[in-house]
Amino acid sequence: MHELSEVPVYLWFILVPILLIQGLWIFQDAAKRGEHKWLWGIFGLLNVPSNLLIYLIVTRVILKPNPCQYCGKNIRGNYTYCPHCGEKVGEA
Amino acid sequence: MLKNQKNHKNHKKIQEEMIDIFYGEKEWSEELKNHLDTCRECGVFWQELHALHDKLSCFDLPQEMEIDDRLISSAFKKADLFKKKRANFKESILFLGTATLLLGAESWFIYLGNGMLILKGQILMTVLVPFALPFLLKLRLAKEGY
Repeated sequence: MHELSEVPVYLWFILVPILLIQGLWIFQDAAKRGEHKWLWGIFGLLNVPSNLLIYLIVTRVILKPNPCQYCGKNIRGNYTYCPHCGEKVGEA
Repeated sequence: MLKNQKNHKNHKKIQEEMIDIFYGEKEWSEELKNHLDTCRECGVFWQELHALHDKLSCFDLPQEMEIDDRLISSAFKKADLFKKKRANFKESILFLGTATLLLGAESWFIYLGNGMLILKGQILMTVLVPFALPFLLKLRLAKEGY
């Protein structure tokens, strides 16, 4: 295996902004969803793309069916507002 | 220049107080009275306020207007949303700064010749992080109350 000093510098210049953008996107998305934004944001800075995939799975996959009482679409149990119809479904 | 800006801010603040006094929501204070006597800008503002009131009184406006509560609540919601967005923006900037520092430190580490270590760490993380998924999902379920 080649030493990393032989790896072109531009590859690092690509990787670092990608990590930065990924971390920032995760931070903002986690803030919108009421998650631990700082924890997820720093998690997003560590690796690409596996950490992004983990974040998407953990925050988006709904494991237990919990239909919204207004539109009937499945939502997470701890949501205050339905992300599909915008109606209030729980206590803030 | 700075002093002028500060003065302008002071005038703005005083003029806002004048509006409250004009509509009977506040009382005159000695400080304000003295200011009005000596400040030309605020004096002109006070006269304009009276002139505007006189002009408006020419129109036949109902004395008590009905206030739509939905409009007020929607305005409050909008204001809250704006505040939240502004706070989020500030925090995003803070996060961006922190992230830049962290990645800058990592880049420096690579520059010093430890790139291989970083690369190994990245590969290890890519392999190991998926193993944390069941644990994270369990935490998620607990958070949702299942």
